[in-house]
Amino acid sequence: MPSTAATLLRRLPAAASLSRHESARLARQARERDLAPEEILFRQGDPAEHMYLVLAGSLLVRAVLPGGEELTLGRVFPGDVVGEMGLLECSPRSGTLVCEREAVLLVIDRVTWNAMLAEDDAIASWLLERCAEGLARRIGAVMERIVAASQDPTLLRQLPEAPQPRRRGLMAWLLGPGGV
Amino acid sequence: MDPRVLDALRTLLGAQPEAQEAWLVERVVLQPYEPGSAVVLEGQRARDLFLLLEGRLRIGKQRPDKRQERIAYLQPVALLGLASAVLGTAHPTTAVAVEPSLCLRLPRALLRADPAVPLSREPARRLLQATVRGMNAQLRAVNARLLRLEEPGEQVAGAACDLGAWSLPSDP
Repeated sequence: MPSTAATLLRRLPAAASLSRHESARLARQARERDLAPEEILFRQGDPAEHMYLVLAGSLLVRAVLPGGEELTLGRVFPGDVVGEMGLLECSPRSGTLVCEREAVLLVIDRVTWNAMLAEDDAIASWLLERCAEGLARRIGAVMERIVAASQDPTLLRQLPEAPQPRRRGLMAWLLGPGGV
Repeated sequence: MDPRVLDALRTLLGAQPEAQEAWLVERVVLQPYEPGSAVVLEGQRARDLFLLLEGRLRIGKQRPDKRQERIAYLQPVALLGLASAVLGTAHPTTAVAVEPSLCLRLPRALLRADPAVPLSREPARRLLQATVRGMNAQLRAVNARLLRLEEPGEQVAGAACDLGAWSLPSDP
């Protein structure tokens, strides 16, 4: 019987570019983690040993201001990968991730990630594509917010509801002209 | 061939087999920019991504009143145009050379391995990995810029890391 993670993974629109075997292998190699609203996934400054693929729910990215107060910088959604920099650059967490809506994640540790990079090109590339897509959306949202807040500082603390990512467009490009 | 092309590719993607490097060299272009000239324009559809090798670029975004909001300055060695190259969308910002600059231009098609070209597979993954590192640097830089708006009296360090030497505007 397939795990919850495997089922949720196959439901991600972005997972259409993974074969059934590849998505089953990814779900098997990673560990599932559930998060309740307000639960902290990791804190700014924590050492980084894992990256996470969001399968369901949403999380907020927060950073501590010099005065100690926290500012919400963005949201992450199903299909996004978070915490990858810890594994790619061995850097501590640059922000705090807190669950917004009940979430299910796939947890990938450093050993598993290195093994994927060395031996499983399809899954490693797919995860990198998820990282890039999520980062692209988050960078765009922060830039929009900078422009809005530079004209009206009261908008700084309003985290806009992010538009849904353009999954179909990216998928079509990644799959090429023959893709579905 | 300009030896700077190979140096730039090695900086970006690490050492690779000779045939793979030769395949890449044929697909990238070294592009100089005079001060005031645009590397990418906001709203323009992305066809390439860029590795800034020399000089300095100003990253700006148009405000509703049509004035440019300075987001950051970009210094070597840094990647540019990543988000739009990955998504195939329009550039969200304009990048203008503020001093004589040199970029390596890489077609966005290199991000995707071509099943018919085995040589394309490893470079695509390495480029994707470099792109993710560069985008993380950019996200840190724009987050720092956002935080500086919150704390106008505070100095927030620019995000300077491998392949993403972004720095914050020095003037408000």
